[in-house]
Amino acid sequence: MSDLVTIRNDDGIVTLSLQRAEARNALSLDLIDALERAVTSIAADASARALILRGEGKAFCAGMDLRGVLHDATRMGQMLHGLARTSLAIRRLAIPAIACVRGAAIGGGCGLMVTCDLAITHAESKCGYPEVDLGICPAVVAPLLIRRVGAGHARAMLLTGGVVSGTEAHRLGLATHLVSEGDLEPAAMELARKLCGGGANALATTKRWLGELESELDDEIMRRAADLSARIIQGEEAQSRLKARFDATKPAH
Amino acid sequence: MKAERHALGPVTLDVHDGALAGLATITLADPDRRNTMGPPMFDGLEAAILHLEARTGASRFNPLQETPPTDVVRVIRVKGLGPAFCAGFDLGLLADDPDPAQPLLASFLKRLAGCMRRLRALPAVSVAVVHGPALAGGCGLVVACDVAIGCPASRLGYPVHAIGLSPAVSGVMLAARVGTGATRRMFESGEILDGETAHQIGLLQRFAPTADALQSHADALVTELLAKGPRALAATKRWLQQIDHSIDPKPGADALAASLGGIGSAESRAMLRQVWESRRKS
Repeated sequence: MSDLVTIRNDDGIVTLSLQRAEARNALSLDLIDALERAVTSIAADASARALILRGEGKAFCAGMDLRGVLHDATRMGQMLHGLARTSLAIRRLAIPAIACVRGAAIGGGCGLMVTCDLAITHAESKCGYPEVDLGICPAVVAPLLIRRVGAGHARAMLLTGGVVSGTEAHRLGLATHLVSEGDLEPAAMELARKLCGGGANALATTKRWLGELESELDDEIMRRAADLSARIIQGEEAQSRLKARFDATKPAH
Repeated sequence: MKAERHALGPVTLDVHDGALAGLATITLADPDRRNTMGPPMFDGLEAAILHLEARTGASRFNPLQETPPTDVVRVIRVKGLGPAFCAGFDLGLLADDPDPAQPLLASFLKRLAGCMRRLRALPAVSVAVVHGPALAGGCGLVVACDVAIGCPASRLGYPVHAIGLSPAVSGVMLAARVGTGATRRMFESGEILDGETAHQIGLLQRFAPTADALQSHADALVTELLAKGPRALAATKRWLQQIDHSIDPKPGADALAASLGGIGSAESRAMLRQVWESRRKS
């Protein structure tokens, strides 16, 4: 297992932590690969009863780490396809997944948040999809967001961009639970324990049935989404906007 | 791009320039009649949309291939002049229609469905600014826009069963906007929601705290949208269209057929006349 993610199993409650705190858990290709492998191993773990997905440090996940791959269409495509596959893999786990969102869930990070069955956050967190501000098309998160908050909210959020507070995210349904920041981890644990109290079979069957009702959320639509997003990022508009953003915010290290 | 104004009967279409280049405003401008929809209003709306189909590059711009030409309209604001955003169909005309088959009502429904679908299909992002009542067909225009902004004075709903009519024609886009639960509530009760409630269920996505603040909030939203990456915005809208099915022909045609199915009956004609008579007396 790479050190970019860690997995802990407490009596069936599996905590999967993104371990790239120095980059606010921004999704690099390596991190996405590690995450995908971790989700695959959890899917194969018969002892797992519930998943908590969290980020180490101040932020849950600051989004895709596009710095450095801007001009590398191949790696960019791999990242988007990897994120699309990982999202579907989380969606298809037989156990319920809880996103525990501290600080920020931006872009692809907010995608992971709405991919999980439940999401818990605090009033001061920042959640949203500022992609169109940067000339990016948030195609991969769109199918997941529509299923979480409905097509109307999804349309308004993705077209108007920006981010919202944890309180507003809870009102919109991006987050299912709102607690104080200090209570995040204990509340996620308590929620996971409550889920473990339900019949594992009934939970798995219910989750699978909800998946069937989302009939169109399949590999094909997620592949098309990743292709579309990759294509728009390669365009002049996104390239110049991202470059301006990167120039304005030099890396921390 | 030079500013242009097109007077289209009771509809005004402005194409802005300067800091607002890329924005067009459709104004329903028949305040004395609460912007009710009759043949002149539909003529005006259809003419405005036809203009915008050319100006948004609907026919000549593919976001997957290229960046939009600089002179295209990327954001559309829809608003109403006077006390109402739009009070729905012109009941006076419909009540006086002597033909028992109600062909005028049928044409209103078809033209409303056409305006809604064509507005939603435009590559530009549309914003409805709902300062007062937006009822029945008026509410349909609101749900056809991508985003709606309102205030406590907004009033939205489909009080059309009272005239023996089905609001089904708005159903596909309303359900995509607020979900099937809230759609059932609105359609079956016919209740008129106040601004807060409409915001709560997601019929309005943005909300200004007072009617006075609405215009400045709407201006800020429009300015925000103009600053987005034009290509990313157009590609995102197109992708949303593909995955939320809001302009798929089949459900749209079925919804229109459901609304058309109710007209021409003795019930529909009697109720319409009764409502109109009581309104005329008051």
